[in-house]
Amino acid sequence: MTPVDKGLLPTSKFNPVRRPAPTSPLPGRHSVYTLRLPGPRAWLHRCAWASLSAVVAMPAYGHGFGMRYDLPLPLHLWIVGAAATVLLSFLIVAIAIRTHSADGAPAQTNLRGRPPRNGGAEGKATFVARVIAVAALILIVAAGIAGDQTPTRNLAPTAIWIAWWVGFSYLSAFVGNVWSVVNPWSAVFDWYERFWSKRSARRRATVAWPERLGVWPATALFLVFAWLELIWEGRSIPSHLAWLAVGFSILTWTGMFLFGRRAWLAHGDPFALAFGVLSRFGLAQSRVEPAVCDTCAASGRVLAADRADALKCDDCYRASERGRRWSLQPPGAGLLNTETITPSLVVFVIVMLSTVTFDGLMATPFWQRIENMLYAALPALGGARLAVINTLGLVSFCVVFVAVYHVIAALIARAAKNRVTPDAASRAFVLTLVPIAIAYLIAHYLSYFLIQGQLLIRLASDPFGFGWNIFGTAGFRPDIGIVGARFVWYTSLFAIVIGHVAAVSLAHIIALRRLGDARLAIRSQIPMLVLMVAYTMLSLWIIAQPIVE
Amino acid sequence: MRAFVVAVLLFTAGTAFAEERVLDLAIHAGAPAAKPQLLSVLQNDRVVVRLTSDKPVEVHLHGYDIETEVAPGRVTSMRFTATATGRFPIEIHSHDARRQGPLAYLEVQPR
Repeated sequence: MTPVDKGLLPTSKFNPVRRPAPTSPLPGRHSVYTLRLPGPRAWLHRCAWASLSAVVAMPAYGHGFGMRYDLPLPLHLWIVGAAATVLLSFLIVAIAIRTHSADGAPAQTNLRGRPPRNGGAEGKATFVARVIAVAALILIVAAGIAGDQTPTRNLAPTAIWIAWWVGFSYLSAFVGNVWSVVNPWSAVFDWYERFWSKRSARRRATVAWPERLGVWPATALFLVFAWLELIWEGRSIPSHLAWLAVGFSILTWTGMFLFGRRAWLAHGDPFALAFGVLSRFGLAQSRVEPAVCDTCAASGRVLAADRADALKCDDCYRASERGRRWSLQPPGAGLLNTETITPSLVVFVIVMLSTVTFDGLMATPFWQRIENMLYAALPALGGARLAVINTLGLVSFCVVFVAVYHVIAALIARAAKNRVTPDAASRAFVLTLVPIAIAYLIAHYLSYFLIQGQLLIRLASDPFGFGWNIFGTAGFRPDIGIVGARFVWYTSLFAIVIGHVAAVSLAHIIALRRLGDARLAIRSQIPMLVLMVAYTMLSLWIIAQPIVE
Repeated sequence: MRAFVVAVLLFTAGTAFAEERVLDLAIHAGAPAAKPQLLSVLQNDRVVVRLTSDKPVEVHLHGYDIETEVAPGRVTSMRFTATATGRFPIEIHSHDARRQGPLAYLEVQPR
């Protein structure tokens, strides 16, 4: 019984020296593989297998790219989380009853405020950040098109799905709207406009954004993006992603050319809007004093709804050099600012939240059972069955979320004795759901981000997969033990409970501000409280499910 | 010397309760012979996955990223220490891996 060393793949997690094979209790011939140090041939073998495994063994469906290895939340933690959620909800209401004053709401406080730098409208730091972002975009597209097409050996999939999509979601939620500063598409167009304005009069947008379009184009594009992220089979193929980025560039610049840069960013660009929504929770905000915008809006070119949010309007932003402020605010305070919410933005926010939840739902055994049931029931659809089933799931999940939210808004209006209309209620409270979504983002992506994100260390040295080793890190192997299950569980649980408390509190503050009357405010918040408890429970339930993608 | 003693003590304390856990997996015609099994082990347990197949296949444990060729007619063992917590699928590499699902899930629970 000799151990047969078939050159089992090297991995950093194991003893890299050959061990003697233990005597086996099993009868018959069998071999034991031990691990050995990576020689050049082992590396070749590994690369060959990595390429095959990445293409063949992609998880069936699920977020972007790569796998999540999270353990389901254990039952006792699930119970603690659920109990804390319900208990704290009532506690907040009880406290609210005691301190029943209309302006008992903590005002939005600027912890520190100073006008952002105006020299040349674009500070040096901003310029450098933008140049880096544009260079990164070019590198990602070039790597995607020209590089090795193995997902894990090419910079594009990891850079897009993990660094950009998850990374900027986290940055937006915890820091502020960093994306609005570094957005490479916006930067390039800004440079182009400045270049032209030096030579001739400032170019005006050709078409004013039609008011009734609202943010519907961005909502539609976001749904398309969610489909690409969660269902599209080509989502991890570098060249597919690169061409999508090229297509998105053309679309963005055409939109900006036609409607103006900020109008497009505010209504047509799904990412500017999505990161913008998340960043309202963040600590840093750049804001324009409303007075500045009021005077500027006299030109009539700005939509009424956009007035209080001058970041959406180039003219206001330029005119507002003195009224502009960078400020720090308590987390979540930005979500109290509901004046700029339009009905279409309500739908955008709910669609965004529901796609994030659907991502988690898709990996549960519950969804797998539905999938299998429909798979057997719909033989007529042939090979595209899974994609069709999941597409239907995604769309109906969004529709259900939007419908439920509007029913809740109608109930709020009724509970508030019609002192607000259902439409006004839906606009006033939609952002209060964002903290629950952010909490879920932490629970869902934390270990994925920290584990799969390590690929960037390797890819930085060899972005094209050509065997380069620019920084000497091409041989880096991700450490899957970087965060333990316990750390992830407690962080997730803490985030979900805190997110829920933030959501309930924010909704209550808004109700007080809107209705003025404490009793009515509490009454009106009962439907919202039910919705929030249900939403938080859904998040908790999903992370307590084993992942079966 | 003292450092060595401390290291030995820590090592023995850490592994004193680690067990060896064995999982048998059968593959028929390049597909899992049964529904995905669940092997739940504790962190730092020594895990042995014994694979049998009636035709040559490649089996991959995700996360730990261990791949092994399984030849027909004999038991092939994948052995390792479960140092990292998490839930890791064990899959057969084939062209229809997408539909057939994993052979098993290895759950490494924290101690």
